[in-house]
Amino acid sequence: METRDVIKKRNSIRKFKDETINKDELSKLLEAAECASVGHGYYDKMHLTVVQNKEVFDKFNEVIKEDTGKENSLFYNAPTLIVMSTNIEEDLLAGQCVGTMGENMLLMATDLNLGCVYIDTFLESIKKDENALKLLDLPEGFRPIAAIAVGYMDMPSVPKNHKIEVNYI
Amino acid sequence: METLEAIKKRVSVRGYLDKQITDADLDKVLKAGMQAPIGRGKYYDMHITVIQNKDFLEKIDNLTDRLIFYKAPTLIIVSARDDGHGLDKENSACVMENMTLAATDLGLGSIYLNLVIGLIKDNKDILKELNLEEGFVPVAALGIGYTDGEFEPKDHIIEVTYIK
Ligand SMILES: Cc1cc2nc3c(=O)[nH]c(=O)nc-3n(C[C@H](O)[C@H](O)[C@H](O)COP(=O)(O)O)c2cc1C
Ligand SMILES: Cc1cc2nc3c(=O)[nH]c(=O)nc-3n(C[C@H](O)[C@H](O)[C@H](O)COP(=O)(O)O)c2cc1C
Repeated sequence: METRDVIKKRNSIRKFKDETINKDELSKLLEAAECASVGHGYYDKMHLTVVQNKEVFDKFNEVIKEDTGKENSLFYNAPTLIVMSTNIEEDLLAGQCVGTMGENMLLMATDLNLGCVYIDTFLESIKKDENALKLLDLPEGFRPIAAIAVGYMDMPSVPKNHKIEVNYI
Repeated sequence: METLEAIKKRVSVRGYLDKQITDADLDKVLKAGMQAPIGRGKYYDMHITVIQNKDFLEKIDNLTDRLIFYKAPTLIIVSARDDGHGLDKENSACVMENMTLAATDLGLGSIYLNLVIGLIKDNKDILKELNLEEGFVPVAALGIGYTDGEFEPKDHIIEVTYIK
């Protein structure tokens, strides 16, 4: 699909079919992440974790429920989560390098007709629970910042027209 | 251009021609930025400033001896208001990535810039001229223009762990 159409089409999907995306789709998403701009070229300070394991998801949901009291899965029971982590210390740079990777994956997913959503909130509960965090098996010194939830859509894709204020100098 | 092609072709351009981009292209880049995902849908916590005034760009360029935006004829600054959840950086980066991909798609060169932001934040004069609304802080800048020279995309590698 044309880049400009994909940018317009991307929107958050929060309901997924059970079936997991295929290998080819997954590898394209990861490839897109690797093509993002990363400050100082710190690609070795970024890490991706592909989670497709039911027991891990169950544990995450349990921890989220305990922490927030919410029944609904804060990752929408997506069959694939791609968690983005870093060991960059300054939050200012870390957050931006995660954001570029995340957006590249969302656009690639949209291009492949997959549903996806950028999620931060669920990690707050995971980070508080040592055992849940361990399930991510992150390299020493890395912390998770955000994730992309991705799968086959089980709700209509409805792109919105967002506006950000601009001024010209 | 196909999405994967634009994603692969995007490269940081560090040399620009002294020629302004068209208003139509600028508009397409800005619209692409606006379609980015923003945490909690708080688009009103984001702001975009387009700088094309030569005197003002020179003033920014003179903040240090180093090239900080490689004399790009257009500098787009993304500012954000943090609502306490700290999503301002990721939000800004999503807007930035959309803009840099849209620029690539249009055959323009672009670069993600942070160094210039640090210098602007330290300079009260320039910060004042940005005329940002209360609570907004510049987060990232995009240099954009016609490329001066060849910039080949690089192959970057990020480590992946699979938990199946
Ligand atoms: C948050 C962030 C800040 C950056 N700041 C600068 C900068 O101030 N100056 C610069 O020359 N490049 C900057 N870059 C560009 C990176 O150095 C570049 O993306 C990286 O080296 C990979 O090269 P590529 O973009 O050509 O693929 C920045 C990138 C990001 C994501
Ligand atoms: C940094 C960031 C964090 C987000 N966190 C969440 C989240 O935790 N849960 C969620 O459902 N959506 C989350 N979103 C998605 C936004 O709510 C969504 O992008 C926004 O409401 C605009 O809607 P759209 O994506 O459909 O265009 C996040 C988006 C960004 C950029």
